[in-house]
Amino acid sequence: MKIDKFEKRVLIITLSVIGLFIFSLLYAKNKYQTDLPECLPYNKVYTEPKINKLDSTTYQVFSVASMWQFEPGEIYVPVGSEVDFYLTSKDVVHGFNIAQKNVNMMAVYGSINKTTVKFDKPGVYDIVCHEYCGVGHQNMRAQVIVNYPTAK
Amino acid sequence: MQVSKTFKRIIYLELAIPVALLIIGIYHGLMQTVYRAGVLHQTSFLKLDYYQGLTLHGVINALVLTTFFAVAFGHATMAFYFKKEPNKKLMWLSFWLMLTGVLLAAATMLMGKASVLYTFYPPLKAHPLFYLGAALLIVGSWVPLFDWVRMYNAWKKENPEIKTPLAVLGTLINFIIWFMCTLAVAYEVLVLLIPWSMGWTKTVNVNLARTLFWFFGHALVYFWLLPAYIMFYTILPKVAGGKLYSDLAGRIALFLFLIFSIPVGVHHQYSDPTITRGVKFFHGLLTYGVAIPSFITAFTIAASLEYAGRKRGAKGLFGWMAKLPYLNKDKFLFGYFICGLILFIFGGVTGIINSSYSLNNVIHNTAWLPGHFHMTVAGPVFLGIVGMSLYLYARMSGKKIFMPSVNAIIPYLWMIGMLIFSFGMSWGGLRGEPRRTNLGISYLNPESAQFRPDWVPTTTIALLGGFIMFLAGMLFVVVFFGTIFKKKTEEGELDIPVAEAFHDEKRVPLFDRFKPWLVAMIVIILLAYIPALINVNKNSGPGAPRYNIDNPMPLENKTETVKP
Amino acid sequence: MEPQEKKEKFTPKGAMAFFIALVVLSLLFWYGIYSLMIERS
Repeated sequence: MKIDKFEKRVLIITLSVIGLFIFSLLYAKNKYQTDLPECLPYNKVYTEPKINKLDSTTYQVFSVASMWQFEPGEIYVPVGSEVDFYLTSKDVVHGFNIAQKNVNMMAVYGSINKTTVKFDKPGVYDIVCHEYCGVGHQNMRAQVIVNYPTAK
Repeated sequence: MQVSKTFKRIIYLELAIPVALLIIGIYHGLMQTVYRAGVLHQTSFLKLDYYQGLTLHGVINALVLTTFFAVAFGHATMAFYFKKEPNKKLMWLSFWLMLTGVLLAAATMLMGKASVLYTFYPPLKAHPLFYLGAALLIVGSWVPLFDWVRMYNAWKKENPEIKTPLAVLGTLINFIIWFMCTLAVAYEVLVLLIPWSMGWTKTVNVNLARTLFWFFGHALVYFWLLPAYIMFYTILPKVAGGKLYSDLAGRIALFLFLIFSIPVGVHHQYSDPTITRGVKFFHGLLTYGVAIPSFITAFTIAASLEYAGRKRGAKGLFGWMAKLPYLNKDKFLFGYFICGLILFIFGGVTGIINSSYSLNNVIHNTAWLPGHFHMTVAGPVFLGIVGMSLYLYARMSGKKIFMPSVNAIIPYLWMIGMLIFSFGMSWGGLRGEPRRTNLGISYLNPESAQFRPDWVPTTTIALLGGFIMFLAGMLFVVVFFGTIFKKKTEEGELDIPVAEAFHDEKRVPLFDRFKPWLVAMIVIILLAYIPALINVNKNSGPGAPRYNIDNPMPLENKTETVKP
Repeated sequence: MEPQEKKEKFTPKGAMAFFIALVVLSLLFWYGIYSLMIERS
């Protein structure tokens, strides 16, 4: 079967670009821990909103999304903390997006989602619901307030 | 080709009804940009609320228009290439099933009982007739495939050594993909959602519903795209005055779509719980596979256009780009096609970004997403649909185009509006602007604690683009219906331009047979989806009860209110 | 089909150039988002 030589080149270039992308993704995963949310089996312990302080710079947040809020709605952590966010929904599907930190998860009833974030810089980080969840969707937002340790 | 009155009537209905519905569909597109830019700070306008409008917009433009056209264009293609009309009874059956489905869905949407968006994720509940309407639209679109396969088998028997015409191959492959992927959403709708929405079953596994939807949902975009690809390979080179550079490349691309369109759906669920990263990464790799035929197409079409340009005397590396019939009124299809292709450059590139595993964290469910998909479904797909609808109608009815000069510039106006719109949306998305959100109430409301001044420029740009597109869309509706109301000036006929191949390529049996590819398709789907479904089953907890869009309490609780 | 000149000469150099440009554009956009992702990690 004769394939046109230019089409062959096109195929090779395409496969090379794909290879480049795959390599870059694996490299970033290795060096910067960029990855998709972690998959956990369902456990009803995560359905109660909570903030656990494991030590001065390690926190766990059990975030429960519902129509139309996140609980807890305000999360205070000191600069330099690493936070594990565990996420579920009490009702419909919600989104959970902290844009400046690559946090992008769906909150689904009957399932647990998880991601880990390191807050290196102080500031107020919005947690925006970005999946339509009924009439109050546009008002659904929480915040992570990252301060210096002495401030509250 | 001379065709019967019945054939014409059915095709006309299937082309014109969606274009009429576009008036509502495109109006709601404009309205989204108006609410989102904070021009309005209200939940509804002229009796239609934001999310109701968004549902109408998605369903009409992305489900009704595309499905009706694929069926009509498929009928036209099969009839034209085989010089035989499809079975009329089955054509009518298909039409009535689809139309009934649309009417049911439209009624529920207009009554405000189905504001669940075109993805209808549970446990947000719509009226059962909405789901039934969707199911009927889909089942109606299955019917033609079986008749076309009968036509193809008959043709093959008489012509065993002749290459299946590329357009026919594309039509069959497209509908095979469609039939396979819609099985999942039909199951989701008929088995999971309708009984649950009626209260017969108490809960629904939301993760399972989503996974089944996206088994359908990604292949859906190829169902949209493939008719446009058929036009690019088999019609565009002729209209441009050139030849198709490689017919074989087109065949290879089509078969790659057959095997890779479906087993990639989980890339829409990268942010979902219950599915492991391993399965997500595997779907990501397969998605790179489905990008390959698009790259092949980009080169092959460019080569075909270069041939056309050089035939007209173009010199140099890029001179051919200038010598093409961009604004030729009689070759208006070229304008519709080329504007779609230009948009698709950006649509395709942003699509590859979205499917790149962890890159998805940056853009998922932000305004970047509609920025991407308007440059695909509202780019080459939309422009191919409307351009071809106008062409088919005008030729079959023997009428001249109404306002042909205006018609020639409509695709360019649309393209400019789209580039502006998508630029605003993409930039906004990178700034964290969410999609599917009535921003005017909160984030784009200066009186609100949630006000985000950094989203003002991005939503304003999107508004400008939306307005320009609205103008182009309405001009098209005027041209289309204006053409319908013109008097016939010549004998109508079914006419589709057919591109010649540049290379006289011999028939390659491997790229002219279905069986091995169908087997490969099924094997890859099983490899991709069995693990995903096992994940969902293992990691899911309880199913969810029904919720209406306006009440945090599940529907079941309402019956427990005690009267004082 | 009309008989083609057996030696119709045409090499798609321009299309190849376009394709390379398309690939370069893809790389620019892709690595743009990639660096954004890394910056935010």
